[in-house]
Amino acid sequence: MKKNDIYEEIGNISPDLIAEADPLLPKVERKTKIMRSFSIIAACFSLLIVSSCLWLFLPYSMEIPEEIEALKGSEYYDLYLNLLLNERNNNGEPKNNYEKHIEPKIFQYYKILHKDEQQYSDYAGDVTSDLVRDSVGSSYVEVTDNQFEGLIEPDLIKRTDTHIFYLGNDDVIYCYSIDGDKSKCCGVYEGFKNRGYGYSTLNFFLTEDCKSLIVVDSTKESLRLVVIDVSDPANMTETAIIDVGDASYVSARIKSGKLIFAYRQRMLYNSEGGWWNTKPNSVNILRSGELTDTVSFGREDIVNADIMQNVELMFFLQIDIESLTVEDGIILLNGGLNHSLTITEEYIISVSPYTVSDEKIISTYPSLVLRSRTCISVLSYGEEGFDFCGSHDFDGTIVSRYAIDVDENVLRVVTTSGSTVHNSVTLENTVEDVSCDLWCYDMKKERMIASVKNFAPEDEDVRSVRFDGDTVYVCTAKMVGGVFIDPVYYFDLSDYRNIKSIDTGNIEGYSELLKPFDNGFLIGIGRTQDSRKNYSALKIEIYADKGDRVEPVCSYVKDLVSFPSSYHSYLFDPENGYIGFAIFDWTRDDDSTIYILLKFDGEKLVVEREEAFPDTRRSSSSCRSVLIDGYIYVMLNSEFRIIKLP
Amino acid sequence: MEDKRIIELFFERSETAIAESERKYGKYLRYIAFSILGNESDCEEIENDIYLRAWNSIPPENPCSLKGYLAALCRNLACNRYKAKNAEKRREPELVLEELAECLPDPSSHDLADRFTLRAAIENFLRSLPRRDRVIFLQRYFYNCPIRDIAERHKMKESAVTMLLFRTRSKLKDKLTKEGIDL
Repeated sequence: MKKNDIYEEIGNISPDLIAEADPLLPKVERKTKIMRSFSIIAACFSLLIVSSCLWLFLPYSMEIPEEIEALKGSEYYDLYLNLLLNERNNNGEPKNNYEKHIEPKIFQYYKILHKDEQQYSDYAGDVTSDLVRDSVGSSYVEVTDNQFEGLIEPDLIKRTDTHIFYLGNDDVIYCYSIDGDKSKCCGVYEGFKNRGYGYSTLNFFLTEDCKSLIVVDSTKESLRLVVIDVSDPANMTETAIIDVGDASYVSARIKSGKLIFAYRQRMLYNSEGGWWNTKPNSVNILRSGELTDTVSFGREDIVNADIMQNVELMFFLQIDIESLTVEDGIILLNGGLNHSLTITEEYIISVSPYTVSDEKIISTYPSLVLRSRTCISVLSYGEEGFDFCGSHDFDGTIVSRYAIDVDENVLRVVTTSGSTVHNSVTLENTVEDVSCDLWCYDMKKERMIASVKNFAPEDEDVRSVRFDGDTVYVCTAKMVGGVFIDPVYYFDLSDYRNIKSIDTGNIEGYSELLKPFDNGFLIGIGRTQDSRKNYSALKIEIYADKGDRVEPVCSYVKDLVSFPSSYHSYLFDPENGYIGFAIFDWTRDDDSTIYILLKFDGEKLVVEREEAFPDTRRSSSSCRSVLIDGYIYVMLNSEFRIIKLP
Repeated sequence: MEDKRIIELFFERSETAIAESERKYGKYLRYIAFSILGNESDCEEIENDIYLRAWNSIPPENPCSLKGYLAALCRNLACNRYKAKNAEKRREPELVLEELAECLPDPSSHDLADRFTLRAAIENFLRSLPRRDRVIFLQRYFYNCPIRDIAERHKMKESAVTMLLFRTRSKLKDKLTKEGIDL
């Protein structure tokens, strides 16, 4: 054995031992001395507080006039004393030092603060009393890039025909008017602000009548849906809460006045019954602060207990938005944290990956060989509530919710399968026997009706997928000589008996997001090598769909940046060729998030505009922009910019 | 942000996971890297690699302690960089290696012991130690802290730390011999 072996194995011990020995932790030996010093300081401070309170609140001794003093001992003495006290109170004479010195100053500061809030001086423009009385408009306009048309996804931005609502990284909801250069902030809701680090307000919906926001809010104690009345944007008010308790948000959708809400909970171990919660899950509904309704769930609501045995519960609620009632609920057992959820117009598809493992010795090193599999459970939902349609196992993993689609009861899935070899010495994972596959499973007939296996060469894995009707675009990637290369595959699923596929050949880098961009173009957003040969450079590439092939047309590359991985963060305007998004540039010293507006003219991508938002480190994913009537409105936390297009 | 939530962000493939990891443990990881590499530029170069490794390994990894997991990644990357640069100066990693050589029951043998067994033996041994001894041992042989720094942190004399480490290494050697690791 070499001396390096012991040194290396010390590096592979349990992480909790490593964390315990952190040399940067405060020294234990000094704790007593620190505590002693702290106690003395605390005692002195307490004495100071007590002395200050006595000085502030001890009442002044009252000067008693001679004529009343003369009545001392008589039955009238107390009466005259009270009359004297009342007279002095009515005259506003201070009774103690607090009323004399402190109270007047508090009133002064209150007036100043109140005056600032009314003017909203931090935001674009001023609020006039006329604008405060305006309504938020009556027509809902969709701005979110929903995976399925008509199935509304929550986002950080929603709008009507006259106003925009935006939720920043600062947990404040802003309302802006849509008025070109004259656009301004009409109101804010700060009810989620200043709750401490680690809590998050996630995203929100705007109801179809444009009168309410439904905000998904996660606090330390619980996960909630908070309903806010926004009919008067200057006075946005919380009106109701649906509280599901200690849970983690998964997904939500609105369709036809119904809110589908999905969340998960870890189960607690019960030595008699195995894994289970010690108490039933409850959903509490509060209106104007009062508890008005409670819905409880128990074991009987789990629909796949005979298929899955796991430690996580996935809850689904169907809520009527108008009446805020829980119409139905259902529970799936789920396989841990690494899962995704696809909600289509008729189905909810819960994807639960799991692995089968085997220990082997490979090249004298002990290794763990992991084979990934995925269990897909399907629920239907609608007017009659939820129904469990069944489960199916696939070999492999699914890259995201966009890799699943349902079309007329056919479940279409793109997977990557293979074995992951985990080297316990180097901590590196090597993937072997990789295969990219497309599966088409008929849920009514409960059988596979079509598949395309191994459609990519060996060692490629699926990076992004986008279904567009009967067309599916798949971007795969593999490492060749330290460089990622990706082709884009195009499948025509109009005839399952004769699925056509085309690939683009090898293109450097890989796409994480794929989106049709109108007029036969496809846009890919992903990564390519930067100047240091790491894959941290942004690449935006336009492909032309030629029918029988997909060809790259042009690309935009920016080195050493981080960029959002969600479609919602991007502005896509195929009609005018605009693409808007925010990045964080690692090379800048001012911690700025940069908003970039690109224009595609059919042949090349050019930078139309760049806007810097200083001191907004790593906020690119919370930036939103929307194009309305020749103006692009850009929002990032409290910042609001207006770009007039040529 | 709690480690549990950061790990969830990794599983959700949210780039915020890296930002939060850097915010919470950036300084800690730079300390580990600097103790091995000795210069800022090398530390900066491996910093992004640490987060990239974490991004690529979580999932499927689901570490019980994110802090310790990142520390292990950082140490391994720093050691690899150190070896690649083939430093001439006799720095702490070389001193540490020389000290640990004493723990080998038979340093001349080139055995093919199971690495899992060795790791398990080391971990069991460390868990059997009093907390102070274990912390000092890991600060020296995981974090590569100089004896002087360890003595200052624990309010001990340098000779006392040296003696404690010597005794602990002897116990480790006995432990490995009993486990049959030398064969």
